[in-house]
Amino acid sequence: MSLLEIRNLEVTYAGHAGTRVRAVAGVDLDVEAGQIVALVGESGCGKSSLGKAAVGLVAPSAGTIRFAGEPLQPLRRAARPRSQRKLQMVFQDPFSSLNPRRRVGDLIAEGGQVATEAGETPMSVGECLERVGLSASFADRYPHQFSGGQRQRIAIARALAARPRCIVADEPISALDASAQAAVANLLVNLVRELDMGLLFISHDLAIVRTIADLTTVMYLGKIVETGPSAALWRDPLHPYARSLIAAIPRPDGAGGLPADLPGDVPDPARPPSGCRFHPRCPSALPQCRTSEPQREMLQPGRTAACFVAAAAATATA
Amino acid sequence: MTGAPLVSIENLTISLPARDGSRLFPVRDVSLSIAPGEILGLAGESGSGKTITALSLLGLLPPGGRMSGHIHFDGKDLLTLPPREISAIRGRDIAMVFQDPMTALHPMLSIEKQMTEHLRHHRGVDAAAARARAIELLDLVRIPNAAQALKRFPHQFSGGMRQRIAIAIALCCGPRLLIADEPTTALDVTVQAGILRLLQQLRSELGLSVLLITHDMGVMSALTDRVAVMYAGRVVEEGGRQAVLQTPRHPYTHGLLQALPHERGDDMLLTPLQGSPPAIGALPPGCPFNPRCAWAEGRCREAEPVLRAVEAQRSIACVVDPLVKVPA
Repeated sequence: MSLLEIRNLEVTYAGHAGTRVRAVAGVDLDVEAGQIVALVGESGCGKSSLGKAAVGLVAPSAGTIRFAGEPLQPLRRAARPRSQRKLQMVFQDPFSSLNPRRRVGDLIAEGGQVATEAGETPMSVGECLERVGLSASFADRYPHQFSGGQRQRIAIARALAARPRCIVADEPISALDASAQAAVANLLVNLVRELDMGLLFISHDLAIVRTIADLTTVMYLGKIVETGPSAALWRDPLHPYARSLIAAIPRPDGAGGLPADLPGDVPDPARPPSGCRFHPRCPSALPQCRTSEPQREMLQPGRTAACFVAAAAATATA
Repeated sequence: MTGAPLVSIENLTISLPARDGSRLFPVRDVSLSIAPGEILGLAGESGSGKTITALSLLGLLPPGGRMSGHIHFDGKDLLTLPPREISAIRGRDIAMVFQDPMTALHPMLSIEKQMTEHLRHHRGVDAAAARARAIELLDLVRIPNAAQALKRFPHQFSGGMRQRIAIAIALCCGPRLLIADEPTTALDVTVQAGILRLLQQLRSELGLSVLLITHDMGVMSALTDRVAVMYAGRVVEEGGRQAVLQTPRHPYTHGLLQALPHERGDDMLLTPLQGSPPAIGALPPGCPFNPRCAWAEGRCREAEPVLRAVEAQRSIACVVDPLVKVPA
């Protein structure tokens, strides 16, 4: 039993003229304690919807989410069950996720109430601040007195005050400068290791993901197309989409080559292509990719991909 | 570099009024030049002065902003020309593309309206000619089915297509310099790759000069010819793209590159710079980078180093120069 266990999850929104848009179209995902699982993909692939469903901010239309063995209830007006308060979220933009009119210490203490109500001693405001590399004396200040990187540390400190067992972080470093990105990413890694938390790290930045995540999951148009240990996935991506994403990253090596582009846009999730959802953009699509949808299979130990071409290649080398 | 530069900024200093009546200096003594058809990259953390330097070329300073020094564009000094001549240059010869194409485009106007209004205003052409030119420009930025696209509105396009449209609008009046401020930061990497390719093509097809502002060293590496790195309002390192990114000589440039994912043996590392950039009103004495610098010495706290040439086509503002490679 995983700490966070997502099975066959679907998230559906109402589209134009009564259509239904399946933003997440049947996803399985696990996060273990002490593990960093990254979820990557282009905008519109459903990664944020999955993240929101994972903490109960949107109600799934099908499938199950279990946290610490218990089914997760979507958030309603009533207080959420105590067992689920150990699942916390960190958002992308620390300029809008922190109330500008409240002191940092109060913001963090509010996170701590969750632990108090559960009969535990919350992490003190001072300890929370120090854990994220800030001085305990900052508790009296307001969010506007901090830089973007510092604010994101405060948002993480607020999540920590609840003594979480798992954090879902949706693009937690995208709004920051490269140097602050590195610092906040390292901070998250250290916290996960020291506190034995699970972390679902949602990002579009594959280079950072490769550096910090134990496992990487690649989503395309609502479905997982590849999963595996980050280093192996980066070195030798199995799915053509994962390969294109990695090839599109410009390398800061000074050599001056343009990265490879992936022509076309992510299709409208209300009208996904037939067969493999990636086939209209896929450089190696076969005729069967247009008609039948590949299922995710274990192609190498610990690595899965949903692709006929990758599966055939794996069989040929096996 | 041979031939006269298209843009040459000399000793540019920009001051802004502070709340207490004193003045702040977000840009101090910056000199840069861009040759025709050249792409110059401007790097640095938020608040380092990159965007305001670029905006000064368009005369777009915040209220109360003042400039001193010289900005030569095609031989004319933009800071001393009569206002009418300056606005002619700014409207026609210098164009800008912003980070977020959704806010740069008007959501309620069709693409045709946004493109042709611009053309008719600056070029004084009739509606039919403006429309023909707009179609030509949309073709140039690789918008499929340009005649149809003109009738549509910004929300009907994806982020990458919107940025292409914003670039087409910037190209309406045939600019010679395009200022691109983080043009791909809001886009996915796959879409970013296409925009980078487009900018590269425009440079070679139109001979356009580009001032590219980005904090992404990968984007910098893909597109630029030369790179200038800014810190606390000054240029601290400048040189050829390959030299600066492969063998940075200023400790700040080195730090920026170390903060990116990099391999050491089997491990992937992220080594952030210590501390944060100083506020422009409260610079430390001496070199503004000294509190964050691993190599700082006593003299770094005494005087601010000036930018000096250390090899052909390369300048740094560092007296210690700890990263110089001594030939074996």
